[in-house]
Amino acid sequence: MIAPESSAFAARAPAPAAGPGLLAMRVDFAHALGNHLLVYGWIAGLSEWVASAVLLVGDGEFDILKDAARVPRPDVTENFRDQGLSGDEHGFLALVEVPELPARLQTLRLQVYLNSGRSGESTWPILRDATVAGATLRAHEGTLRRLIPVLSVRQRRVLAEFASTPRLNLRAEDLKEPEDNAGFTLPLHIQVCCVLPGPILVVGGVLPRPLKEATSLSFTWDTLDVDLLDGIIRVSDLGADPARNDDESLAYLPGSFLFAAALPGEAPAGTSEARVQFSCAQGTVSARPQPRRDPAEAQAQFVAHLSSIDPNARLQLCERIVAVLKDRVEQRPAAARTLAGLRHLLERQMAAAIKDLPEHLDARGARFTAKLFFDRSIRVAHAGSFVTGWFYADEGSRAQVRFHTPSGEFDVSAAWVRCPRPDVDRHLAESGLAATEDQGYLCFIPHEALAVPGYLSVTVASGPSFRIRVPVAPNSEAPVQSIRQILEVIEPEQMDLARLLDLHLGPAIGALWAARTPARHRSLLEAFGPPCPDPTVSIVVPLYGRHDFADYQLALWADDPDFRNVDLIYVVDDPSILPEFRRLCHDLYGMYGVPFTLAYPGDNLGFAGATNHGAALARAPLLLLLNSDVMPQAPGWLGRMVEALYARPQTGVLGAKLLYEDGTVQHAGMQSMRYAPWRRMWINDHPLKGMNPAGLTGTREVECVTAACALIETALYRELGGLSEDYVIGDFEDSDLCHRARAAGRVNRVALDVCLYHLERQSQGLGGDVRWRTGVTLYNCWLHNQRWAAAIEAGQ
Amino acid sequence: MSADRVLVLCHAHPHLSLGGGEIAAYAQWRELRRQGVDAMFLARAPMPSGHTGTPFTARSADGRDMLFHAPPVDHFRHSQPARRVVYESFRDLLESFRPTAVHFHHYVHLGLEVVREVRRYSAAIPIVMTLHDYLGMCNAQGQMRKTSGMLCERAAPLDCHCCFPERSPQDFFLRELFVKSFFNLVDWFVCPSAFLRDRYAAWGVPPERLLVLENGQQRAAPRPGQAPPEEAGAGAQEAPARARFAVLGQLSELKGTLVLLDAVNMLPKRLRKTVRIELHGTMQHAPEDFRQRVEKAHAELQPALSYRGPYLPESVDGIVRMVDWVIVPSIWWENSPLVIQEAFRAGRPVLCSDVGGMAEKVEDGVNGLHFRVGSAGDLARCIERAASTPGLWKRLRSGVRPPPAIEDTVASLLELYRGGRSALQGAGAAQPGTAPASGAQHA
Repeated sequence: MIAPESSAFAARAPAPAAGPGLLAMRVDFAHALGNHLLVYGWIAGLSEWVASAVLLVGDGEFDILKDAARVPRPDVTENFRDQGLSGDEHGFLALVEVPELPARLQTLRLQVYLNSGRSGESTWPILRDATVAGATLRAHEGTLRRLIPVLSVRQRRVLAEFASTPRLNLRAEDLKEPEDNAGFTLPLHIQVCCVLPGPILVVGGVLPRPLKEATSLSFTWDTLDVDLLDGIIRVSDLGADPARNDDESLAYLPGSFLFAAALPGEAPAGTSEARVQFSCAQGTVSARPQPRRDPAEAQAQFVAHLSSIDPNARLQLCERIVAVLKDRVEQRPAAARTLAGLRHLLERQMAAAIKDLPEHLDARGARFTAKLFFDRSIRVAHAGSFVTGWFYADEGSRAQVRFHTPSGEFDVSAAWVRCPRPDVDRHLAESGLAATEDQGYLCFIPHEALAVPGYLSVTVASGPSFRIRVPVAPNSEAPVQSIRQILEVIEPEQMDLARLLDLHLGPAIGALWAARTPARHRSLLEAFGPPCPDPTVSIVVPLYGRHDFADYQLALWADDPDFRNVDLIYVVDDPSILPEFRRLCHDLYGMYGVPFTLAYPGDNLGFAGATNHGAALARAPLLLLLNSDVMPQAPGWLGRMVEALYARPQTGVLGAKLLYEDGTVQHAGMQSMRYAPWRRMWINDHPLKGMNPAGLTGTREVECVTAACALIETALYRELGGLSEDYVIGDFEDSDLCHRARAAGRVNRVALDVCLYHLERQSQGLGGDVRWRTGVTLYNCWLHNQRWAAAIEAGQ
Repeated sequence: MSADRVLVLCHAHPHLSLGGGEIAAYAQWRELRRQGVDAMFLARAPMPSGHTGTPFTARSADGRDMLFHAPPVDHFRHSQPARRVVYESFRDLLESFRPTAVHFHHYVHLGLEVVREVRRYSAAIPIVMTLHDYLGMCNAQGQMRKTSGMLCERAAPLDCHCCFPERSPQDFFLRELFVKSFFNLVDWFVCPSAFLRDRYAAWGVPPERLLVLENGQQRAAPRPGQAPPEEAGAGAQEAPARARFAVLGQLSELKGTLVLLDAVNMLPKRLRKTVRIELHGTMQHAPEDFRQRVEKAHAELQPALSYRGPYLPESVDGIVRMVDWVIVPSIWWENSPLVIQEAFRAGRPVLCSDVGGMAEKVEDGVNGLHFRVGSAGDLARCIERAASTPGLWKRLRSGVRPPPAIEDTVASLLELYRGGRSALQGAGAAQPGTAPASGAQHA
């Protein structure tokens, strides 16, 4: 940036008067060198509305309309679109020759007269310091380079002087007068011409007329005769991003093109001159490039050219070559090794190009409007990415959104789930657009770990293709944190639940949950009090969030004779409570005299993981899974529960009658029930919940029981594989175990004469976030249905 | 000398903190000693002992008047966080003294764990606990007065949560289970009032373990050289009617002091010229604005109302004898207020709030008068009636019976101590540890 006044570009230009007579102008920079000034700027409607535009430098005058090179400035168009500005011809680049440029001259003036009669003048600083100017020019390198073809050779030479600091890749041939121009105002300008290993011919440049006017475009060299129109990449159609206010946003010159194709045989020896020839209605023009055929030189030129073009075009060219390479390797597998270097080079170039892509699409062309924004991109372990945001394509512009990686592509718009976004609807309405559908989207994009980041392409049926970089989520997010982020956007009532779960939530959350890597090396095992030598029951109690429950439980168990033969295991499932609880343990044993084991798996594993960790340590033939917020009503319950299990053969999992603190039923067995709001998935119903427990006696057969208090033979528990750790945080793993017991021919029962209190969910670690809690339950419910819906239906 | 060794535990020492419970516990210990029982008084002291490695210090050479410098407790569930002082230090003390009975006067400040340690020390000796308030069931300082100011009829997790929204109903339920897990280890609960007994029975403590027994008072010794109290009153010049009143003890909002101030303001002008109402007691723990209100009333309402400052326990009889009536205007239930016992000991009828332990101890129209709790207007009418109804004082005075004597109370307690636990079990009472939590009863 040159000076404070010009540091802001079009988007922040002073508010102009409205109407077709809009008067707005800016000099982005004016740089003095010797007796030349290089001036770059814009005037709104330069080619349509402006009657006269003059740069006043000291006593000298420079006619912009007559002598300056025109530069497309879509950024200006975008900025003033609602004021009636159209067309992209607003920019200019002027090389002003001033016979004697006074050293004291600090400013120049830009004077504009419009056809409408309005006029205005503004003053801009002149930059002289070479270092500052160099830095400024560097920022505009891309623009300047792209202007080379439209400048006269004389202008190019002056520019070359200015550009001595930044590298503009001005080559000798750029500074030579063209051989013939057949009456064209512009030359046929070849910027790249090389033979990459493969051999792959790459040609690119700017035609004197738009590509669509071409009747032929050929490349001849020795015996080689290639029709460049066959498979040409029309760079000017790639679409630039008008929302970006930097230099790169300049649209392409209408005749820009790129070409890449495999050559049928070996590269030509280069005995004759190479020639590119362009023909259109106006005539024929040719250029004589010097193709680089030495692999090192060819790659150097190729890379140099890539760095001068838009990432969009860069990607397309690289992809084309990658595809060509792939074909070549398929035809000749032996070539794979020699081509590996080029392939690697292309991947690096693509990765760099993707990094330069915009992170959103906001294109409004004459024939279409397309917008795609990301709200969030969440890395799903090594399984893919989960993206959310909103998308708009105007009515009639059917658009396809695809995700691309070097190894393949994924049709995002075929998979995504759309959701209402009232905020987006309002935003669209403000820009005069009506919502066309539910504009929100969320999508799990499956892909393997990527060497080259992926990107999205948006192809508008009636328009061009756009490429967008997918924002990369930080790698460091803990999987559970990522699950939380995903679930934060879920609104089950507003989404297509089947698609949401089967295609997006299911695979994404499953992969994230499986990717947890608990720090098991920090695990801990400590016995307090002499362990009971021959226990009847091992009791596993996970502790999460609150450890005072253990204090309450021990106070209530201390006077229960049944606890003399118990192998009690407290599993700390919460690193944050470990130090304090561990300190407390000595006192708990000292005070209550009930021996127990403290087990810490090293990390937070969730209910199932913690329970399994404890169950692995169990020494007794029976295993009681117990929540820390389950409290006995009176001593003797454990013995009765053990009796109830042994009294009936083939018992799988045995539950107890659990009451809320007000004495109403919390649990007396669980029964599958369809849940209409969640597309009739099966959930676990607690019949009689909240009712008076009167009459609930005896031991009854039930479908499932809660793991808040569940007795099972230790051997059976291990045979069944313990609680499934696939359920997030904890839910449904108890019924999952019960269904497995049923599948193994066992009968689950509830001993209603065994009664305890269950302060339900006081011990669960989900916190108060309803959306997160609902989301976790939804996922777990889905997983449970994937596994057991058929069995439940068969048993109905 | 008997073979009894009785450990009396108290939440504070009356020499360091003057409250009804402490005074009663200390009096009981002294009486036990007087009757030849080897008794130890162990009171919790809030300050550090200053002795490394032991939480105990002695206040008497024979090591029978002791302080227990236990760290502060969790006042929600009355749990001693430094459990080592319980299962190690306190256990050592038990092993050393070898009590044949342990009597708790409260567990507050000590933590409930001491009860369990006594039971772990011996399964055979009786554990007796005097209940001085409703702390076991009520987190509002054990007064069963809602944080909104309303009197509370019953403790239940949801109701308690409404008083303390930061604690969930489940937390209150756990608190109840926790407290009861220790109460289950107690053989006898001594309730100084039937009202308090009924509250604990309703909360789920087995009624057969709840005994109503007054703390018991020293007998008042008539002072030589003075006329009998009633004549002294009748002969006074300035107040020929029975128009001298006293409020004694702690002065605080909870004790109804402000109700009294308002009542005095509402008295008819002519009566204000004749009544004399004295406030005796300490405002040590009262907030500044409360003190200012009392001082302002003292300045403005003289001579009808005057603040006389704190007094020593020994001088209470003298103070009571100088007046005709004692007023007990507490705005919470109370249990068995010491001041009622002191009034009766001195033969003075009592004007009191018509609720709880006060209404139980004072019979309306027999040995005193009731007024509506918290109602200054009703208290004013009550004062007017007492001061101006001819013959009323004499009639109510004749209804006053002396309070139970400490000798009798201690004799009853010794029977309990000596009966061991078998008396309890023989009576078919529930075993410790089988008391149902009250949750089911709430359902």
